[in-house]
Amino acid sequence: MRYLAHRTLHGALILFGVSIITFLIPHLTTSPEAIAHQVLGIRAQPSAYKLFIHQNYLDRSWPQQYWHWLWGLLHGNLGLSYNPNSLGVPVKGLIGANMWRSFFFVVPPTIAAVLVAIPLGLFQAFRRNKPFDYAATTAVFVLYSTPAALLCVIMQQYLTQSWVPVLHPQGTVNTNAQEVSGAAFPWYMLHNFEYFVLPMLALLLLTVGGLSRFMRGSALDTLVQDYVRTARAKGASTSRVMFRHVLRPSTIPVITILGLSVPVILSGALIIEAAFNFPGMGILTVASTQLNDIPTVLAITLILSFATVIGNLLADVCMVLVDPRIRFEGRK
Amino acid sequence: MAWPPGSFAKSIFPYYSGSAFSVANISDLQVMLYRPLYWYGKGLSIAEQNNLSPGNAPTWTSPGGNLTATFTIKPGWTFTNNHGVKEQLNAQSVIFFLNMYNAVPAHFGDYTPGYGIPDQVLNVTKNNNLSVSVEFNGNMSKNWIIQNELSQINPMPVAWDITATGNGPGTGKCSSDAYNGATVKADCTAVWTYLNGENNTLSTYQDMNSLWGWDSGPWRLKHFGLSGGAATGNQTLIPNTGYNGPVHSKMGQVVFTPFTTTTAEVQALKQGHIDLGFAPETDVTAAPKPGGHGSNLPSAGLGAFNVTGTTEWGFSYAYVNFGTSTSTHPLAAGVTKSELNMPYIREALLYGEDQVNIVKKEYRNYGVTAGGGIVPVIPKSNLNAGVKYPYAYSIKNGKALLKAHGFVNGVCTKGGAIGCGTAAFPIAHNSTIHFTYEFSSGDPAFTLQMQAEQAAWASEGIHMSLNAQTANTIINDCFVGAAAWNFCQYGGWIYYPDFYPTAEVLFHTGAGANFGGYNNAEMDGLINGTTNGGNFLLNQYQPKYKTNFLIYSLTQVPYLYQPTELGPGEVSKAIKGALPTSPLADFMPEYITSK
Repeated sequence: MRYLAHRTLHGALILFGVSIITFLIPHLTTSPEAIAHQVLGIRAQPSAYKLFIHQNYLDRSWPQQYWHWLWGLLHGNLGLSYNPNSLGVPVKGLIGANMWRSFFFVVPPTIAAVLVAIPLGLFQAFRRNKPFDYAATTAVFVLYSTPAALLCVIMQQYLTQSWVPVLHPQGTVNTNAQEVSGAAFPWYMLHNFEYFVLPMLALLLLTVGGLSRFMRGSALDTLVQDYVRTARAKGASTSRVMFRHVLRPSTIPVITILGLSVPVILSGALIIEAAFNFPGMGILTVASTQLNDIPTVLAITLILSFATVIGNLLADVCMVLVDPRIRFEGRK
Repeated sequence: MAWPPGSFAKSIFPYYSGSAFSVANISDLQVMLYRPLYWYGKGLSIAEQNNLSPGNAPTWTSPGGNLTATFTIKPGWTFTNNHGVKEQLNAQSVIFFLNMYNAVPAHFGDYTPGYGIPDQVLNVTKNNNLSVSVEFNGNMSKNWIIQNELSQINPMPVAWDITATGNGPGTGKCSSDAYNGATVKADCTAVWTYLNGENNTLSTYQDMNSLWGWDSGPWRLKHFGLSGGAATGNQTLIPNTGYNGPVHSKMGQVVFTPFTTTTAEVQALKQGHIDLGFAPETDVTAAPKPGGHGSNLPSAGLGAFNVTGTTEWGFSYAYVNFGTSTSTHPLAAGVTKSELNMPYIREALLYGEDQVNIVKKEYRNYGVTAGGGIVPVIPKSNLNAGVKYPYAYSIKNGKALLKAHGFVNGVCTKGGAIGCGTAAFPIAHNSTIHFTYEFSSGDPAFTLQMQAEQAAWASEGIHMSLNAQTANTIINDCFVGAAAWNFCQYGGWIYYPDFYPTAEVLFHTGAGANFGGYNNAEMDGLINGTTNGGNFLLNQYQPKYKTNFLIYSLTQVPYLYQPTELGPGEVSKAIKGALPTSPLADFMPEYITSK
């Protein structure tokens, strides 16, 4: 508990620091007048620019603006969007709708990737330097080194037209997905599965590529440990050695990576979302950044920072549960 | 139908603000539901289409020297709600708009302070149920009044004249107040406040029983997609069965689909999931001649589509930073570069633009040269008929012009107090010409254009540093004044709904969009001549426009004219009937006969 309290306090300080830096960066690089011109267009009257600047607290000092924003945040108000496409819309609503869609889009492939990558990496380690290992390593390296955008284009080009005509890349027709959010989205995905197969498959393949490499490397390290050799010397079966003595400690790097993946789950897989026109956090983040939608960018950054802190905390806790040595060292 | 990537409608109120002033909002939603008093453009004509307009052409009188426009409204044109209840579109509908314009002009996106409606309107009179007179405070140009001022009027139903949901039609009194009445400003401000609030509540749009369901156009809004309270771009329109104007829709519905990227839209086109969309020039067959015309080209690689050039009644240019002290814009006042104030140097720059080849090579003929200066080349008009663009590509002419003013191989050879400049703007002996050109990154065709022009200008002896920036940076630098700049290109200018190209907002000293601080008393006088230029008859006026204003604005080079890129549009071969857009970008799917 003491450890958790310490980490929580540490996380809160990080979030505070991130919020100040994130708040200052756009204010240092953009003037209130530029924001007003961009939002209202160059045909607006000077009085409209002044009113916009005043209504959005942009004519106050930075500490005043920061306090205004922080006070709103503490009361659940993330401000109003500056994006001309969603001008004046509460940021909370925008993020809420997009985040749930990204969550339901990213979580299933991530879980599937873990279920594929762990046994794959384990088996590769077991069959080290054998034909299967070479073949799997080649395939995984190809996936690992392929840019996400290229993989998406290849999949759209071939898996939809030449090989599997029944599949459609999401975004070609079914843009109504944007209007479904929250708990209804999983059902929508199930009923329109043909549109989500390719983006989810792309995410799965890219994630497997990374995780299986870490799993293989970790398992190779574990296989040469004394306790594994002892287990073998005691006559334990191969499956017992692999699953009882190698699997658990080998998953620690994977757990670390998964902990760091929590922000990805909330922020969406940016490139894949863009390529498949998936209406999630990735596209919202890009659009908000490009259009100087400061309130939305601030909110997203803070949420991702929060997710990073929580992800790391969860990873630490999981590692304690998985590896008894960490638990022991923690107690000492 | 696909929206162009990143663009879609998000505002329905036809008393649109500056931020809602967009093709998507006006042309692809509002005019389909609510007909403007005068409809401009059809096919390749930019002229007013009287058969499509609720208003008849005005008659003119000048009692006491002040021009008065009197127009009638066609009987039988109505607003219809979802229950089939009709409200006549009449004088009150027009006065409702004009009263609101009088009360809250700054909230209307096309308002130009000091010009036209409402600043130059003395009075608006309801002659009878179908006739309105608008009296101006001088003897203006009739062309300008009808094409730039009356063209802004969007009649509004009295059902909108309320200050709270549930109130009875007309209880806001904005539509019934006298134009100069004591209460008109307060009443109309209250009505505008309510309507603007409803406009910001996007969830009310697709409720055909709400106030937005009072339509006077051929279409009704059935679905308006939302996500987290913001518009998604999913938009479905169905025929307005109560519409009693000309040209009724033949299709059951028009569905608009949004795309965030060009790649996704091209992919959808390839798969044939949309009937009308947009793709980059590089993905389609090159047009045989500039402007993309010779339409109905087979589309390369996109399957069952024909491709055609889009048109726009506007022109492209770079702002020039004149840095004059009279500028209303802060940066322009802070930077003075004598070379920019020399017309001959600006003319030499135009000689260095190989516009014909840029349109052909970089735009694959989906574009037009700046042959008419402020008057677009396509669609054709008689405004610039016979006017020859004086700056055909010629390095030789550019060098000769510079040499005639003392610049030899890019170096000023004249001595004395003024050198190669003037008393107000001296250019010292041995000076060279160096400029920066800030433009928007992300368009490969335009970047190649800039590189070609840079090389040509260097051959003339003008050194141009190119500075590709994001849109945010350009706005920050050029419109707000955060950094030094010499030339700055950010989009272009589209004449809508002020169709007569008088450009007072761009060229007049201190005008709202004169971001470079151009300051020329003669130009101001010519602009005033085109807008307030007396009682010219229609046929008599245009030669004056041409011989005076147009040619002067060409040779003065107040802005650096550039060719205009007109992205290609793709139309499915399954669509029969006219291409459903006007040259002014208004979407007219009611002309599609079948699919």
